[in-house]
Amino acid sequence: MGGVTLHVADAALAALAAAAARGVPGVAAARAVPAAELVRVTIAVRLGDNCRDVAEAVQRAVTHTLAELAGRTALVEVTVAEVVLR
Amino acid sequence: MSLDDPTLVVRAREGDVRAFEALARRHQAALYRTAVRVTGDRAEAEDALQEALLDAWRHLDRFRGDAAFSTWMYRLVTNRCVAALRRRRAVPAADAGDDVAAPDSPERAALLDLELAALGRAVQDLPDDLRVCWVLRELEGLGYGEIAEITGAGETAVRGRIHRARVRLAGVMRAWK
Amino acid sequence: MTEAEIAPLACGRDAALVWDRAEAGLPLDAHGRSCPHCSAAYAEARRLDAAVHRMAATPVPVPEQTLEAVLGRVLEAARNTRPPEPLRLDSPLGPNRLARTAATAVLRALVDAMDGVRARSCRIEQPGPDPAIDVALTVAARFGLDLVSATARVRQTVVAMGEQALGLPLRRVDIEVVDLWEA
Repeated sequence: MGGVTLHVADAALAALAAAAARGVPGVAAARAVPAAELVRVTIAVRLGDNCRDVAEAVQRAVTHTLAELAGRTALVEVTVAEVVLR
Repeated sequence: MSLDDPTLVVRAREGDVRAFEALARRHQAALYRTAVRVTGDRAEAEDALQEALLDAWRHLDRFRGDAAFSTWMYRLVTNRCVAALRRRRAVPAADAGDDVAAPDSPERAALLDLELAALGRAVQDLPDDLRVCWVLRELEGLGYGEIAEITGAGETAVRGRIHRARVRLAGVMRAWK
Repeated sequence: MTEAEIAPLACGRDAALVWDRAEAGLPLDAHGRSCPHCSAAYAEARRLDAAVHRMAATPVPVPEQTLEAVLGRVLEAARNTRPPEPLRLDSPLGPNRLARTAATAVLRALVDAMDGVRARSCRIEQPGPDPAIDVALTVAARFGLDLVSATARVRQTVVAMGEQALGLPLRRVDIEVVDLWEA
């Protein structure tokens, strides 16, 4: 038997990506929208945590998760939409 | 920490939704009450308030900081109220009668007070421009200067409208007695 | 008769003045007391005024749910307004973005946390190509504060903590005190 081709629906990718993002320290909330080779992740960051660093950490976490669990190589773009002040 | 209106306005104008929310919460009760008193209808008042707040968000760049924010909001809400009154008038008399004859008016609280009910109906019969000035002065307690800013009319015109409103209302109440 | 003119009473007196006196609870003057026109207008005004006071005193119920529902819809629309161009965040894994409103909220919060100052306007420019930003802040300050040292304090805090919180180098920070408030 040949190799198994894994198809993962967009909704599942979105859920995986968002969950991976939420696990990153400093992330207060996250959601993800996959579109072809690009996964857009929108996050809220806690005040005091470095937005740039958290965004990069989210990129790493999501890239890693999608590769490990869904066999996907994707470009991840993170948008910090909100900083939670309280 | 409570921020003053000018600070909240600048922030809201730059896209800060939280600042706009704080402004809305601060002023919405007074604006809703005014809308109920001008239109005599709770549902229309609710619509007028909502549209006025949306107008405010969209046109904050037009608000000049020299006037008070509350004055500007009163203008937006009374404009929406007058628009609602005009739309109501465009409806055939049969339909309009149902709404206007039994409005969900503030006088509900004094159900047995027939005099207040009669006065309420008389207010709802006032022409729009007289009604707005009269409500702002007699029920909301605003000064002539502020009413002039809200309506865009001169202070003398505002005095004239309020006086003519009073004369009309007195005439109705005299007949009612 | 133009809008501004009010028809005088038959005796020639200004009707609005008589009404104003009645509303204020002031008695009529010597002419008014003996004039049937003024007295009639005055009595009418007093009668109406009593009813109007009762109407004004009758509270208009303002239901919480109504206001919350209206506010909910309005804020939803406000949040969906087209946002301005986001700020660029550098990363070896590809460019990320920081919403301008998030960045300005952070800087304002830093200023608000300081004693005696409140942030007003906060404008950020990122001319590029590097991620460094230029910040222009206006603040309101408490009356009596030494404005020179307060402005310096604000600049220092914004630069140090702003860079740390945003992760963007701050190149220019302009602080302007635009208003004062009484303590």
